[in-house]
Amino acid sequence: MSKNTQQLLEILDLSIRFTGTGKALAVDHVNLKILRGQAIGIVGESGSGKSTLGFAIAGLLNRNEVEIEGSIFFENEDLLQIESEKFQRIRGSKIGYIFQDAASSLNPLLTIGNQLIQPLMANNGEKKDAARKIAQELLAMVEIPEPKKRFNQYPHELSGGMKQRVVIAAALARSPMLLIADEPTTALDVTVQAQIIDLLLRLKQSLSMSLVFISHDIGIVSRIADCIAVMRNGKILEYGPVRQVLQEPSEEYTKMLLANIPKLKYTTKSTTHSFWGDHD
Amino acid sequence: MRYFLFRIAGGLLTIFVSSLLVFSMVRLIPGDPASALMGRAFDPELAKIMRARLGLDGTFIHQYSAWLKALLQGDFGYSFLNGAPVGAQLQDRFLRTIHLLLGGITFGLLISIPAGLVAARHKGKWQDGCIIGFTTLMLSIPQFVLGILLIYIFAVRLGWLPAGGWVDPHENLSLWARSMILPWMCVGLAMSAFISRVLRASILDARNMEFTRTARSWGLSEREIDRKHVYRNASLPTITVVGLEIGYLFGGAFVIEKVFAYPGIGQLTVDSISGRDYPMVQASVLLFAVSFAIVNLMVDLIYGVIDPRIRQK
Amino acid sequence: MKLPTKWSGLNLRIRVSIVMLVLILTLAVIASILSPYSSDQIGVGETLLTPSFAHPFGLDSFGRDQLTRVTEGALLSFFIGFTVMSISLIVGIPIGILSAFKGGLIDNGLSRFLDLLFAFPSLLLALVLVAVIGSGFWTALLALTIIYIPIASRFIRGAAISERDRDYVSAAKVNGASTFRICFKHILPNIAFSLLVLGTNIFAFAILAEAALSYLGVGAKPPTPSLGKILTENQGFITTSSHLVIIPALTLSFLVLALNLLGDGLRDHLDPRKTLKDSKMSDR
Repeated sequence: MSKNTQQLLEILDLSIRFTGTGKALAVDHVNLKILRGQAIGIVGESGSGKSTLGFAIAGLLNRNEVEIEGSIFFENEDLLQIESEKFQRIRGSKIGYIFQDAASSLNPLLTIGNQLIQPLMANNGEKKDAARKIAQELLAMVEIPEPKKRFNQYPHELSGGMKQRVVIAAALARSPMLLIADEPTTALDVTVQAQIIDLLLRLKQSLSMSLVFISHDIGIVSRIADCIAVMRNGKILEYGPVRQVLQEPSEEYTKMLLANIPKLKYTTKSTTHSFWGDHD
Repeated sequence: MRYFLFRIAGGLLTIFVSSLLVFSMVRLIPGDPASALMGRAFDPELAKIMRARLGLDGTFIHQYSAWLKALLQGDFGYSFLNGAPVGAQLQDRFLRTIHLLLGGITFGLLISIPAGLVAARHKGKWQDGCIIGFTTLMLSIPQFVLGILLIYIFAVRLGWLPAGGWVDPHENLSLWARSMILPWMCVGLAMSAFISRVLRASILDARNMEFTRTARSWGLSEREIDRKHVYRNASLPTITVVGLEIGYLFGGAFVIEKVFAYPGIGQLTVDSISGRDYPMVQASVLLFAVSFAIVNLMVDLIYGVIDPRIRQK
Repeated sequence: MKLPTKWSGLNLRIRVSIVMLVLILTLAVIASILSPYSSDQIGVGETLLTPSFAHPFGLDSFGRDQLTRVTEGALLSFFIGFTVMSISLIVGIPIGILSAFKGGLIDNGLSRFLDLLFAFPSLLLALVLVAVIGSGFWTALLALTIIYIPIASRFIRGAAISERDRDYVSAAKVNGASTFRICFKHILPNIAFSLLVLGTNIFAFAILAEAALSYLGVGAKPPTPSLGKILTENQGFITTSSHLVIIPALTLSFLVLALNLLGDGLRDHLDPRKTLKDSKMSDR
């Protein structure tokens, strides 16, 4: 595996501390590698640092409020060393982000269409008319029914699931190479959750992008990730291919996380079907 | 769309009910105008005739509908005190009060909006501190005290500006302008304190909202985020407050006109209330109520344009 | 929301404003008691005398001692502010909470009525009311009370509405608590703090409104030394004896400033948003 072309993101010894909170590290000497087309799940409870890690990769932390050490290499460039304008250009075009609560992720005063064209037009992107067309296609891509109608509607007129699809569409507007999804399904009903997960899987395939899926729910993560990282108190406790982590966890903490999810298993002749996908 | 129509209809209804309220309130004022006018020479027979002439006979409904009919034809009735048509007297004074208020509002907005923007941009730094300190002070000084202080500083002590009064601008434009400066400042400063505070706070709030972060994740620059999201969202509470302040102004007009000896509708109203001049009181109070209702209506309509969620109701 | 019981638990604004209020109250009381003159006693000295040792605030155009008048005026303002605040709260609380809780026709009717009332600028209403009842200090007091009861009710109703849908109210309902009990034993304590803030606001507004009415000539009748009335009487002498105007003006501002500070301080104490803002970017 050649390091330079296959590797998309490498986080080296990253530590983040919020100023004014004493010595506690939100992210504690984290090392992580993400290859192209790979999906990584980051699992942990609230306060484990997983969201902070996600923000850091996308450059969404307020530099005035944090102290950061270490490096984040994206396409062989250390994101923590470049100027903010450059980082700004990389956001939206190469790194996409999905926030936890879709409902508040959208500006209630602007139409869906008006917001969807923003990432398209930013940083010398498309012109308005072209952007509008592409936006319509994006809505279709995330499988929103009646995209033309939705285009001119306001966020409060859409259901939670639809809003989340819009947010995904916006994040993917420029076909980013890396998508970071922070608890994208937590605020949704269970049935809708499954649909969104499926959508993300399909998009990951068709756009061949890398995915960082952050959640507290190890069950959902294992459905979508190739590898799982378990985080606690800012450190990555365990990391490995999803099957290995699920079936042979090495850490006590991981075992505890796994023990807490309802297990529904039944066996057919050749495969074991579990709630989160089939394994042989 | 329905929202706008409903609001306008509501406004008209409010005006209508206000007129009814005004009419009845005035009739509650004790004292019979006829006897007041006749004084010593009171004669019950003559009083009866006089009351008929003044339109005070007949039932309440009768009087009200007569008044309303005349009103809709532009006839405001005749003053009890001097017999002159109310409409003419009110007109000039009302216009002058409008000049005062509009000038003051403009001045106020010209100060408060930049102040709020600057304070938000330089949050935590000396510019912000100054503006907050200044507004705290302004908020605590009662409006007419502010007026008196302004007169003291600029007219008495420094002698730069006249202490109020009014000059016909057609006759002497520069003197008119100079005599309007202090009243405008008084009105403007008083209302600007709250507005700039709220603008600053709502800009800072909007910057912290989730959708601002989303916009940032899309690669928009801070300037673009301000333009496309922050200002729009911050304008909502600000507009509400501007409407509120203009509302207060209507009440404050009375006092300001007295402080600056400004011949507007305020003093006239006060005098006609004490003088039991029914037609005058009715007309001027109604004018106030109508203007107030119109301002509120406009604020609601503007709000409805910006915030689509309101339209849904 | 715990009511602070220790002095150190209160923030700076609250402390400063309480000190200011206590200060002015004590000074006013002491001055009133010690003053050898009464506020309407005319001709105690040469008219329009400049401030001197015998008359620290000077004398007005009737030869009345200004110190006596202004301090009595301050006490009057305190009185009127306190009375209007208390009565409007005492009446407004039951109306507001019950109406919000009961909902339905009563609540609807009340809000429509309140909306109508709010279609008029309040000073205008005060003016007309005073005209109906007659001018004078006490009638002004009555008129202001009448006007502030709906204002208080509206605010309290709003606060109660945001509480009524909360879980503890539903829990109490399920437990069979009576309306009275829910409203006054549960909802009221939770909105108590914002009511305190409302109280300081009404206090300040009432003082200003009475001063405005007296200033316009429809409030206190001479020789009642309401601060507004003093201002009207002395405004003509602003060029020659400006202290006659400046002193009552500053006294009024001082009172209002203290009350506003108190309200701000209470609101800061109440609003935990300051600490929440610090954790904006942290893990949820």
